Amino acid sequence: MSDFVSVPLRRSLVAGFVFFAMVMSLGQALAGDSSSQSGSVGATVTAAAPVISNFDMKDTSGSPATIIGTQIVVLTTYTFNFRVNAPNGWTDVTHVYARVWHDGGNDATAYTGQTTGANYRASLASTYSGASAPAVGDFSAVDGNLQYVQGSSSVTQVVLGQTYDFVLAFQDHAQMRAAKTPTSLSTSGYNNANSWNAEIEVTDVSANDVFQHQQTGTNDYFEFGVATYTSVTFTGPWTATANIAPGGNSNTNAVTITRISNFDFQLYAYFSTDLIKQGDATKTIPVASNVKILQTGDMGGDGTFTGTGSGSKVYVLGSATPTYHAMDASADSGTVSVTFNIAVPLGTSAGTYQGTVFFTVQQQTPLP
Amino acid sequence: MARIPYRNGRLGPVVFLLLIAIAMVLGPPDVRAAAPDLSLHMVGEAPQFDGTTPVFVAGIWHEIDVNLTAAPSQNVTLRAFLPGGTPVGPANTYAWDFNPVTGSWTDPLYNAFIRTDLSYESGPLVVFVVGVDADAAVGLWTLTASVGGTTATSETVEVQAAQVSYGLSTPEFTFRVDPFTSAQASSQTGNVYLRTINQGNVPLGMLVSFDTLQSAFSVVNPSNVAHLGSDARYFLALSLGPLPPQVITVTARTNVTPLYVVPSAGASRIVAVVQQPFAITVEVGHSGYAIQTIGNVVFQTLATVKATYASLTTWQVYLTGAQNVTLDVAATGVRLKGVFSGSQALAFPAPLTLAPTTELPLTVQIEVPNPGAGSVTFTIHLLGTGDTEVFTTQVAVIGGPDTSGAATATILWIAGAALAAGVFGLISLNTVRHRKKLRSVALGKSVKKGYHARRQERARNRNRRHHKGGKANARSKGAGQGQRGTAPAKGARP
Repeated sequence: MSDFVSVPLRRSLVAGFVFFAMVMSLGQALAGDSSSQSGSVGATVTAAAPVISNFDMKDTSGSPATIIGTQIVVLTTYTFNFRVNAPNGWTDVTHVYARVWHDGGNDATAYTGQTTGANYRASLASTYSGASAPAVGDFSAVDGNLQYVQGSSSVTQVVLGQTYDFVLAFQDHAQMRAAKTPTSLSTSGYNNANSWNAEIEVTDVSANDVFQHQQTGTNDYFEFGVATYTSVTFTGPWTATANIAPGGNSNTNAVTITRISNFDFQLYAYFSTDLIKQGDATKTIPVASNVKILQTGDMGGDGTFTGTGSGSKVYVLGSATPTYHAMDASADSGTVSVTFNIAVPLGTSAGTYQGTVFFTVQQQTPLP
Repeated sequence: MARIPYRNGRLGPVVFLLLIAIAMVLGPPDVRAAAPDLSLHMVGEAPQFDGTTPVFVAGIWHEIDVNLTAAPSQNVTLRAFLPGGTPVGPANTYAWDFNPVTGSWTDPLYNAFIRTDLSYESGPLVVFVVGVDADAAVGLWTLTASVGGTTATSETVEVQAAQVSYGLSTPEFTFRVDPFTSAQASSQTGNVYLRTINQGNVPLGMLVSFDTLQSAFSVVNPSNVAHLGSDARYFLALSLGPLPPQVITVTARTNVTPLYVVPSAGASRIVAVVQQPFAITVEVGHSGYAIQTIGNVVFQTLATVKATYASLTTWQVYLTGAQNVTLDVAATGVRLKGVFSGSQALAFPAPLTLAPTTELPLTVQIEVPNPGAGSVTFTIHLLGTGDTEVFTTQVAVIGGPDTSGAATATILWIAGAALAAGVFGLISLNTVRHRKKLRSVALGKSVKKGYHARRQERARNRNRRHHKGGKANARSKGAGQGQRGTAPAKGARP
């Protein structure tokens, strides 16, 4: 074959093989080695963004233990533990936030997306403007029903003006939403619906906004539960406001019941026995049909007791259906005023009669 | 070295005995006041103050200690009153007497607000256990003690309304014990505890009850009194005898009752007790196993099995029950190698004889030939009742080739091969064109023809077609079909 013919042919062949090789190489490069993990490589170039490390949350026992994957207890002190390194100096830092929020049944719910109320999210927050170093006094509780326990908090210098260790102590108020123990912690995201999530956020003057969601060491996204809590407070006993003649009836004084529950609940009452005459237990006023709670709370009308025992309940909040009274979204407690009416049957022996009423706060179970 | 005589031998005991003698002469400090004074506290509780003012809670029995300088020989009268309170009555005025001669204790105004059984006198110390009505007016009252009609001491006290306030925190209590094994367990292991808080000003009696397994549960280190301001944590302990596998849900209940309540002087009275239930779960089963129940048969398997890619994985499942069953096992995404009772492989559906008192262990063996999750389903058919239930164990595969990378590689290989074929096709086309040029050169034709040359060639072709009556269209057949030299059909482009 003459050069006249072979040169174009050779050029075409070479070009074809080079192109083929390039395509194959590209395929191989993109596919990666079969034994390697798939993933993406990316980088965000920032102006020396702050770095959050050593993140954990702990109890305050003698040997503080992490609370990740456990249930914490309201009105009990726990701590956020983390380190912030500000490469450009602490003067660049503008905010530090330590946050907790209930995910509302959706792991994707961010802190800002949880808007149910103060019993569903809360933060410890500090704001800086050219401060040379942080201090425990910089922080305060914001957004929710969280108490900052400054006396049990600390900020420790690691590198002057740059790196600090934070131990920020807090207590949940009594009605912070109950949540069961998270059982499926994950390194790839919050992974337990209806749990509490936690994160640390730091911002600086260069518009860097960095987050830490994962426990240092395990790299698990930080999730925890909150144990159920109920409380009932009575301002006093109920006493008939007047002597009652047989055949008559009388209202008692009103007693304010302050109830606290960190999940939906019922408040109901029943008598364990009939009203018993003091000094002569053989004489009684039957509760059935003679004692009632005047309409209050969720009641549709007066609630007359049909007898004694837990089978004869009058529901003040919630109902026998059962329905549950929604927990307060934002308040620390709620109240309901309860007044009894006592009727004395004809023929009742004169005297003082006393009964014991059982008030029960029963939360809806199980927790979602 | 100097000697120090007696120090370790004889002087020590002498000094000790001397101190005891002095102490006996002086007596306890609380019963030998330099001047008479009053103090008060609820029965069993520490004194309460609002600032520095002692607190007296209405409706609750209190112990009022009158410290005199000497044992009384005349009546001791204790009075409590709200200054300016009218009309005189239980809302604002009380008086209580102690007669040291007869040793009697009385409530001359109402005959109701003293506990004669608890009041006592010990030399100069006179202790009244008294109360004021729950509806007594709140405010600053005056408390005076007089001996023989002469005031010995007085104190301002703050009468507060009773407030019963009780908080209870209950976490998830879950105990796990092995089947058919006696077990002791405590929630202390997991630091899980009941937390009780008395936030009111009334001492509370607390009792925890359980609706089932009553004798098996106990509250560790309990106090049956929630004292004022107390914040106590209690662990639960479980002591359980051998039980078959099952999940037992226990409802526990705290009953909280105000203590030391003064009976009402009213016509009728209702006292509140707080009751708060909480749940306890007892899992009798193997650690990490899901306990599934169908009728009176219990099946235990792991909820999730972690299997290594391209290897064999085995685990055991357990059956217990009061009737016989057939078992069928199927796998999805993994290969079931077999289910064995001992060393014998089961053929499905496999009839199994169960007993309520022992577990039948079966060994499940799978192989994971493919990456990705799989599952193994167990279909249990109860021969006695005819019920059928399917339980599933998920298989999480560890390791294996990266399927997403392989797919990408395959696609790119196909794309690359297609492109390469295209390139080689172009090469072939070029080759053909060059061969045509070669032939033209060999026939003495210039490769590049001018306008006239092209007109002459077209004319020659027309004549040749007319002469042959040609039918073919060389271009329509394509170069590969080798009809080179034939003229294009009419109308065809040159």
